[in-house]
Amino acid sequence: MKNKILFVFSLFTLLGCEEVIEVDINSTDPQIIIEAMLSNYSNEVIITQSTDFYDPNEYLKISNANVEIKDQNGISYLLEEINPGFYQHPDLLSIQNNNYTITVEAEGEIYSAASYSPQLIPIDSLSYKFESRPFDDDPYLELHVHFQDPVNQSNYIRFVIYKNSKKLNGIFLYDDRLTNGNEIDYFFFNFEEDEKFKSGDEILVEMQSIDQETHTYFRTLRRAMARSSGGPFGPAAPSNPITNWNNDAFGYFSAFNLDNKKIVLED
Amino acid sequence: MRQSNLFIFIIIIFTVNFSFAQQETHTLSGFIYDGESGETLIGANVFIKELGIGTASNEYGFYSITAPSAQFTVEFSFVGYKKKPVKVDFNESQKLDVSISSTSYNLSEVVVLDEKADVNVKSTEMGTAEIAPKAVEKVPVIFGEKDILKTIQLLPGIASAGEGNSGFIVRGGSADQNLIILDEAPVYNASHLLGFFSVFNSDAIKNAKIIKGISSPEYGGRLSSVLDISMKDGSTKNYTAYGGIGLISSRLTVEGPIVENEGSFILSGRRTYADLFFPLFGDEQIENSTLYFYDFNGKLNYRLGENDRLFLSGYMGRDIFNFDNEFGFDWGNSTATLRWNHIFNEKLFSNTTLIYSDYNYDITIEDSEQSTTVTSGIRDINLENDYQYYYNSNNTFKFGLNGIFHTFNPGEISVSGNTNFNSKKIDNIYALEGNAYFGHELKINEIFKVNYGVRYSTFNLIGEGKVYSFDELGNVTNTKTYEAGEMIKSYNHIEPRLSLNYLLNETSSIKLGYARNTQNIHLLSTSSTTTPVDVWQPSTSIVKPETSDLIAIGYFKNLSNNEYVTSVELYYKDMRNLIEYKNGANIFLNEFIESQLVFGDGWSYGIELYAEKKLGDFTGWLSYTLSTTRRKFDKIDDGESFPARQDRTHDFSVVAIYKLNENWSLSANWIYYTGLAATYPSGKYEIEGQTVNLYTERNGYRMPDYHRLDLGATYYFNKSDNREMSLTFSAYNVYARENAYRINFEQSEIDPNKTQAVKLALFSIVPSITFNFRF
Repeated sequence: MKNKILFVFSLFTLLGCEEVIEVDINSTDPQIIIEAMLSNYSNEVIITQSTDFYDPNEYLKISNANVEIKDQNGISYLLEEINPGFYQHPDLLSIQNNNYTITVEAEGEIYSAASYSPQLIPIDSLSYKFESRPFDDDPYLELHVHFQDPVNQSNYIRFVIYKNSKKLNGIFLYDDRLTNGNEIDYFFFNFEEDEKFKSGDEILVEMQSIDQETHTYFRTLRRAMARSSGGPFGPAAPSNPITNWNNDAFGYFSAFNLDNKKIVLED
Repeated sequence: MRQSNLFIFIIIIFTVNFSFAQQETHTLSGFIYDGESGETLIGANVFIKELGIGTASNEYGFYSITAPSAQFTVEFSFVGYKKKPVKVDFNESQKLDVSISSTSYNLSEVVVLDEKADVNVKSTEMGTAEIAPKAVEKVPVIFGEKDILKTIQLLPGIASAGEGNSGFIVRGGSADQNLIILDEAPVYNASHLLGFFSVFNSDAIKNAKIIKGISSPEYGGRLSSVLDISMKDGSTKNYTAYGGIGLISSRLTVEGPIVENEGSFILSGRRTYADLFFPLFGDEQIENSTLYFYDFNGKLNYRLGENDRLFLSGYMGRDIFNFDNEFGFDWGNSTATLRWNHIFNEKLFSNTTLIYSDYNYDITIEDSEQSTTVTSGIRDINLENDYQYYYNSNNTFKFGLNGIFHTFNPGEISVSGNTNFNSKKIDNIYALEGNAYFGHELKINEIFKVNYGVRYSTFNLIGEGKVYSFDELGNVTNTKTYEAGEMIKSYNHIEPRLSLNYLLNETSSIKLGYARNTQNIHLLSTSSTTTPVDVWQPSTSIVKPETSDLIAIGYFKNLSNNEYVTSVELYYKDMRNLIEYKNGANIFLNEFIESQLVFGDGWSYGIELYAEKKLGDFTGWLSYTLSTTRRKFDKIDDGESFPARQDRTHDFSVVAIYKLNENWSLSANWIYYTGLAATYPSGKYEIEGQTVNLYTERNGYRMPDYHRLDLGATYYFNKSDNREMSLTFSAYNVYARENAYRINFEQSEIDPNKTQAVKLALFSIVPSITFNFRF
């Protein structure tokens, strides 16, 4: 239904006109970015550096870092650098209802973060329909995920969607603040504009049960993404996403548990 | 300490003043009417030439003037009206109702120079402007919709909240710091259609007065300004109908006597009809959709004998949007005012008012399986009792009391059928507000006038309700429940107000003003403009009242026998306990909203220049403001101060209206202001292979400067006795300047390995045509 609202706002955008302009932007000191995740399937930590706005989208990889994940029993796992800036442990997996901490030592600084690996919520089923919208001959995909929201706790979910094994752009989030304990029919429609779906496409939905901090990170990340922000009614002042890292590192550390399901689209 | 000083000051003023020996005097009082419609005139001038003393009619058209026992010529006048001299014998107190006639419906053919014209020099009012819709109807506006809220943005110290937006910013304050009252009822959301139109239908409005912070003590409750709008009363003499047909909307107003010269009514309606064209799109979903707003104003008044008059006025307006019978969104205000004017005697005038105001919105999402509705709103009931005492020609007193009961509905969601959502209601919040004020306008001598006063305000949050305490992270640490009627939190404030006028000579003066203001209800807004779903939040234990101190000094000078009016004002404003959402705030239906806020201070200072040509075929004004506005929040940018969104270094407007001949009138305005302070990324990085902007400081950059030219032309058909018709052509943004509404920083479509800045401009040139009629 949200797409109907977006449609009205986009009417106003239609009135307007867009133009690429040259803006004088300050240079800034490179910042460290740490993307760290630990799931019931795998783990990985990627360390990179920021760059100036008008430089190409190429980000320096940070090598030779010391990356260590510790579980709530105090057992440490040292991650190895598999590729430049890419760190992994061969068999560390997230266990439900456990706390994890991570420490990264890179370029003379120490960064740390903590995350809670929540109870896994399984996907019951997937369904979909093709819908139409004004001024668009192509139908768009409305993809539904059905699951049961557990009643006794706050639940946070992040969905990652793949089409024919390619990860789709977009951040899809759910929290149960207004839907606690219900049988949920959650649906997506706001894929990128040029993302077309056709019969035979294989859709994989990965449902990650995440903690509140990870949810907050991705919710606030959405507003900082360098993608078209869809019209004039944006936030008053954009800002950096809220991270669980200390020492001014960017990125996040998330321990989560995922379930996934596939569906093949038919006409 | 400060309060006791003020008290001593008041005592001194009284003693000085009343110790003068009094000779025998008598009082002339009554109402001043428009000769054609019988409508009362606000601010009409009463002047005794022989004595050089004068007064003006109040907001109900009542005047009272006291003079020694002798015969004098009393002149009654008003801008654009013929002066009426009346010989009056002041050997006894008497009543005199006076009707004066306007010089012409078109621009003044007879040049009238009256004492009212130099009111800006002689009154103690500062930072104040009055706007009669008639005077500004020729100023070109977007879509041809006359709009008082857009016209006031062309005055110094008042800036637009955004392109084409009816929201306004006064001396660096936020848009919610303006008290907008319609026949004394607060209007909580003064805009339609996401801000492009205001809720005020010019046809139903008699007068609007904007006070930029230093108001007399009967006004209060907002930090930055008061916009006091009076609805027309309706003609007591004959029936008239007038209106207009425009591209966006049509208007119709009917007014006339209920009983001739005793009572009258006015009904006025306006509706937009963009959605009537929806079927033309040939799309079924759009055909099943609606998008419009309407306004309805009505007013009745009746004179109960010589000393009493009753008014009942109301406003109702709503925006309605439905999409394909699946999604509905509507919002609007309703207000009602019941007023009783009573004249106790020739010197004491009173007004008792019962006011109702409501704002709410509704969002409904439904299909065959389910229906979900979200609502939120605010409702006020207000009882006021005001007195004006015209002691003598040197002393006027104002005093009064009011009590307001606020009910806040922060939000509720109700569902039926098969849906993801649970029904939920955030508890209503109740507050009882009380105000008492006293003001004294004192003419110490021919060159020195003082207007001082004080306002006492008490704001009480009362049960039933829950009060939450939070830790640093915003988690609830404690919940306390209060019974119905139980006091939860109380705030009391004393607000001194002062303005001085020192007359340098007949045509120039220096004024000094100071005011403290307090604000206990705050609009929480996420976006850069106000939206219908913004929530009003009362002061609580966590949300402290916003307070401000404003000091201003001005030089006022009129030239060429009041043909030109000029002024320079300098101001400094200090604001405390300002409120913003914190980064990543969870705002939708959140009962713990107080944990999602950050608090800080702000200040603004500047110089405002104004020059107006009031008379002749060529009229108009120039307005320029040079100012700085900053905010400082402990939790934003590590407590460093940053330029506010309201900060416009330069803000310049020029308005020119030229009466070419009997049929044609031309107009133009040009606006320039410094680009808004904006947050741009200073770098970028990558998350999961996607580029993310990196921000370093709040509002550290400037958008490109804003400027545009609007042109208008009005053609008056040859008018007969009672009939009048005109066509207004206008063009907004004539040279199609693509002013930046917003700048997005995004991946380049041409080279995905690059990022770029993309400017969104909302309006290019917008032509429009409107047909107006009156019979």
